[in-house]
Amino acid sequence: MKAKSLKGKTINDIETSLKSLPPDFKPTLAFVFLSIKQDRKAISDLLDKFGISVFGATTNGEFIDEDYEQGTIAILLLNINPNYFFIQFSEFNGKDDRQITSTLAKEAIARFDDPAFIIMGSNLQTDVEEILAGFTDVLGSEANIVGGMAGDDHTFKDQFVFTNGKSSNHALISLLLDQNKIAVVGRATHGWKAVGTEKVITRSEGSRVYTIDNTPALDVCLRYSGLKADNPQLINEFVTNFPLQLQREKGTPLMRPQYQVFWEDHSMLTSGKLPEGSKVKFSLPPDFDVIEKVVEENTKMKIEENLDADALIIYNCGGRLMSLGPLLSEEIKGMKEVWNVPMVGMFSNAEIGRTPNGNLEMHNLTTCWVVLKEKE
Amino acid sequence: MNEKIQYILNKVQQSNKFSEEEKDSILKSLKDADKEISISAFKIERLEKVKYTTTVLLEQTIEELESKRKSVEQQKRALEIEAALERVRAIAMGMRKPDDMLDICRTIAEELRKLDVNEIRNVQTAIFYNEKGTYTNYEFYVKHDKTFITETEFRNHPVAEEFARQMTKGPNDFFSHGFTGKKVQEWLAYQKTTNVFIDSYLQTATSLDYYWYSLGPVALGLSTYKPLAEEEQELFRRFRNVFELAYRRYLDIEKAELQAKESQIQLALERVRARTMAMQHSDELSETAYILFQQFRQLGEDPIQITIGIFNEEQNVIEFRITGGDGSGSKIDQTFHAEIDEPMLINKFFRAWKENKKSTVISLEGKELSQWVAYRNKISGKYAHETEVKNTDRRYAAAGFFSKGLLSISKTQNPSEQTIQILERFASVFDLTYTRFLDLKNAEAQAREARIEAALERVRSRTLAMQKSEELSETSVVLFKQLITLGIEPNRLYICIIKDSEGNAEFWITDEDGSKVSCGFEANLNENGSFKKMFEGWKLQKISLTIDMQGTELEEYFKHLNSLNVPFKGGLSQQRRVQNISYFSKGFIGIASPNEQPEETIQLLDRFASVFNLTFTRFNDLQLAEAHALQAEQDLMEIKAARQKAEDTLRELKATQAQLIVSEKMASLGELTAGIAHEIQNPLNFVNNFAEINTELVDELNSELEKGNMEEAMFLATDLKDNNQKIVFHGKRAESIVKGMLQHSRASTGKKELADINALADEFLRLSYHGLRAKDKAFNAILETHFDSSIAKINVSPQDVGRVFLNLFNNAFYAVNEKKKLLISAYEPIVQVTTAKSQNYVEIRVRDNGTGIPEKVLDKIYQPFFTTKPTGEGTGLGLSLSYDIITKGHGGQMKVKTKEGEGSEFVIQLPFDNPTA
Repeated sequence: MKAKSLKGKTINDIETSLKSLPPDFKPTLAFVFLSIKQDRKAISDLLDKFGISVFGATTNGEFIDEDYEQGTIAILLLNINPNYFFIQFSEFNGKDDRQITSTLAKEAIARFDDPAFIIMGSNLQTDVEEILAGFTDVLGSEANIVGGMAGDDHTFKDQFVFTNGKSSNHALISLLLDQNKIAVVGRATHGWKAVGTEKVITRSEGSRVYTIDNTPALDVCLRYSGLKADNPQLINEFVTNFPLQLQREKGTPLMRPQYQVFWEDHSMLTSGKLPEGSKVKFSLPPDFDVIEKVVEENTKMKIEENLDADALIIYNCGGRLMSLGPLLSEEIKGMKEVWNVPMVGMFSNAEIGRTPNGNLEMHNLTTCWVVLKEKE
Repeated sequence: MNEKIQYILNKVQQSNKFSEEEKDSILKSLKDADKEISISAFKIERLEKVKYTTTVLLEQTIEELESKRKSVEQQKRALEIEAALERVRAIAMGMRKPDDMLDICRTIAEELRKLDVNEIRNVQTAIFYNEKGTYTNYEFYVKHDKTFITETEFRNHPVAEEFARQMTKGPNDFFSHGFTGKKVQEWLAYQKTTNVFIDSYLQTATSLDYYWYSLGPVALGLSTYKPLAEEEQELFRRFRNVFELAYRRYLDIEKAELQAKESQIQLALERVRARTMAMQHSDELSETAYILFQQFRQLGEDPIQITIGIFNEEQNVIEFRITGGDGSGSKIDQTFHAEIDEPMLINKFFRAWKENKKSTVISLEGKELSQWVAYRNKISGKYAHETEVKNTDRRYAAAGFFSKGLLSISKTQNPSEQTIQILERFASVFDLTYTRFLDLKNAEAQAREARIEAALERVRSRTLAMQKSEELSETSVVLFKQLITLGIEPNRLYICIIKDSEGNAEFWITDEDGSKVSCGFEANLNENGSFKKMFEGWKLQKISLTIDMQGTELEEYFKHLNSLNVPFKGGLSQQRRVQNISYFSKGFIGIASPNEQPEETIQLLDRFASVFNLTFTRFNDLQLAEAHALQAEQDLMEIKAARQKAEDTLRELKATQAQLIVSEKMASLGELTAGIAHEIQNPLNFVNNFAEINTELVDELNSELEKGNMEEAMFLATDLKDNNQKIVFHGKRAESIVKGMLQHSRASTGKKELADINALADEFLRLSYHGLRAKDKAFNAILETHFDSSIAKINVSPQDVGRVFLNLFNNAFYAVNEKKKLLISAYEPIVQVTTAKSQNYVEIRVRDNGTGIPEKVLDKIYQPFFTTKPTGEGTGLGLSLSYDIITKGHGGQMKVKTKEGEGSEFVIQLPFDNPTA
């Protein structure tokens, strides 16, 4: 399988690039990560005109190499045998999302006896854990699923996923890949370090946390972070410098950054649920060597899986932009250099994948990547 | 891009000194540098932030950890306290008896020490008795490692009083008091006046503090050699809460113990009650009393003895019965009397008993005690056991009262409330016992009395059964036997009958064991001194006499008896002979024994003597009766002979009567026969005549037949037939007449049957008439019959009624015939027979105009054998039999109306509903 990445600021840039493709490269599938500002329909139509299936989402930033940008379009073209992939597009209603993804999973296994999934969802209200549960209800806990949630240039207003002729701000787009034909290997890592003593979520409802250790969540976060309530960048600070992480018995802790404050009761929303009784710790941003660690992880993966990838797709949490700042490009560069294949990536609102020895979960402040390799 | 680098970049770009390649290279380098700077700046900023955050976090974490540490320590402390409390709780739950409260105090003290409460002097509990002004204290002294239980007064010190007042206000009250310096010593000095343990450490202590928490009727207290800190007091308060459990448990145990004790007491009382109810004899009282003593002892009261006292107000004494042990395990049962007026103890008991108190405790000491002991020793005589008491000795005599007296125990300590209550309850049960004892005594007395009465009755019965005066000796034996049966000691018994005023007497004596009469003898009572005494006593009409023979008198007596051949087993070797004599009118009965007899025996003897009075009277009467009986026997024989004669005469008379009845029957039958013969003659004549005529007619018939004159022959045949029918008719007449005669001659069975009265009357009228005519050809009378043809057949005995008719008709014909003989001119003898039916009976009247019946014999005419006819002409039974047949045989009536010289009319009424016999 051949792959090629391209990027542009405008649709014209893309069209130009498409027209410039070598004639022996007939892409059938395009990973399209673009800014909310871009005309995704036009781009989708453009690609469709070229006979390319679109697998797209809006982002908090997009890249095809270490130079990541916002407001642009990043595309990874692949000439996968159309028989080896299929794109599912399902709207969500927020009530039976689990059932929907279960249905998708059943359709998938009806199509491919061993499907892998790259999924992207839109809408901040989407319960990603429910979605994943729907998949694993059918496929089991070892289902091969990687992906991320669409962004919107950090405005947190409206996010979209789209494919040929379809686009939605509350849907799931799912790229089924026949694992008998295409090797799909993904991993996630974040490098955040837990600090301080373990605390207990004493009252919560879903992702709304009311109290930690019987103290209002915001108060706890403020006390331990030293931040002031009137800090205009409070949320950013929490997210980038002092997020919560859910401690688990097995696997790496899950990042659950607090991203919204309710001043009336000092409760907070976290990205992902923190059930009552869960144990959490505060986190400090990854050490500067996290880059090396991510690269190391990629290298390890390459060696362990004995993979010689054809393409690389990265879902990197938008929050890492702030917490890693300029180091992030080094991370992306490092990953790129490991695989040395065409790549595309986006800064997502959440990531989906497995940490080493972990379960399939929704992540935050995490780098999640997947490599594709067409099997002989 | 960094400003400075941007500046440099701008400069380079603007500069002409560099080639494009150089510019690109510089640009790239500058971009790299910028990137590096950005990265560094970012890192620095980040580091600062992280440092800050980390610092804050660290501070917070330290604070948190410190807080947690404190919390953990607090928890640890709380756990330690809880564990300590739990240990106290466990001890409390393990309590089995009230004294285990001491373990609670000890445990509390130990746990407090483990919790670093130091300088604990003691832990104690107080249970208050406001009425008594005391509290029971369970104490554990830490430094001494000792426990005490004391009952202490609280009204003798203001601090103690205030403490008690505060603690008894209600639960959850708190009292604390501290002594310092000199006050400690003052407090110690006060304590020395009480019965509490004296803590030697107080002698050098500079402070003493008390802390008490109340739980209502009980309080938990702590005393320390140093005041407690606030939290230590709070800690102690928590132990108070746990102590509440202990106290509840204590109460439960106490209650359980009380219940158990109560059950024990109930059981003990029940045993006494049961033994009481099982008493069958009054002598079982001591056994029952001993059981009472045993049960009392088993309840832990441990008296040496129990004294039972029964008041006898009439005699102003109290009878003491002491039951118990003598210390060696042997039973004691002693009885003696004391005067109710004894002032030290008895009178006090008496007054309390009179006031209907349930119990009392009298305390004796010093002189009072000595006096009482001396008195008691005096009255108890051989039972005296305590001879010396010291001046400092003290005795407590506790008595529980019952209706007749008291139960009493003696102790050297004031008996506890419990002891008094138990004593009262036992006294109450003993009331039952003593009442039962008295009832049994009464019953026994009544039974004994009944036995005595029975014995006396046997003697009386035997006496009354005497038929001959010879039976006197047997009666005596009965008397002796009854005396033995009644428990008189087997001794020689004797009866003496004094025959006359000269002293002559007859003796009946038994063997020396009273078993049987050994001999009888006669003697003169004046011939021996002892006998003479007996005789004198009789003459003076004494009831009884006792002669105690010893020495010379006895010798003389034996000699005399010897001379009378009275046998003795012991003989002259006996040293003493006591004669108990009871007199009766004609002598005396006596017992001779080697020693005195009890009063009861003497009284018994008196009663038997009185019965023997009856015996002897009976004896005399019998002798008289015997003489009379002889005479009566002779008279009886004469009477028997006379009776035999009368019976023979009666038999003869009855035979004669029977013969007469037969002759009457035969006479009427004979009268009937002539009439019957006449009656038969008539039909027989017809039969013969018609038979002769028919014979002729047959000849004529044959002749006409020969002639062939059928018509004539037919006429003749018809005549023949007619004549035959007449022959048959008259033959039947004769047959019925014979039948009637046969019926008459047969004995009447009295069996009734439906009969035509008219026909019967008519038949017998003719029979009678013709019968009389047969006897007297000149006899003639007019027969008039008026038969009521509406009379249906009635139930009668035809033979008997026929007999009656015959008799009446005969009498009527006789009467008219007699009158005719008087040759009265124009006299026509007429006999009328009339029958008539009325509602309930048939009336038959037989009237004649004959001689009539004289007035003076009218009431005799129905008497058997009465007749006005000359001798040989009538049996005199006719009317008598007829009357009986009509009245008795048929339930009817027979009357007569008559006038002498004019005639008589007999009326018979036979009822219709005369049942068939």
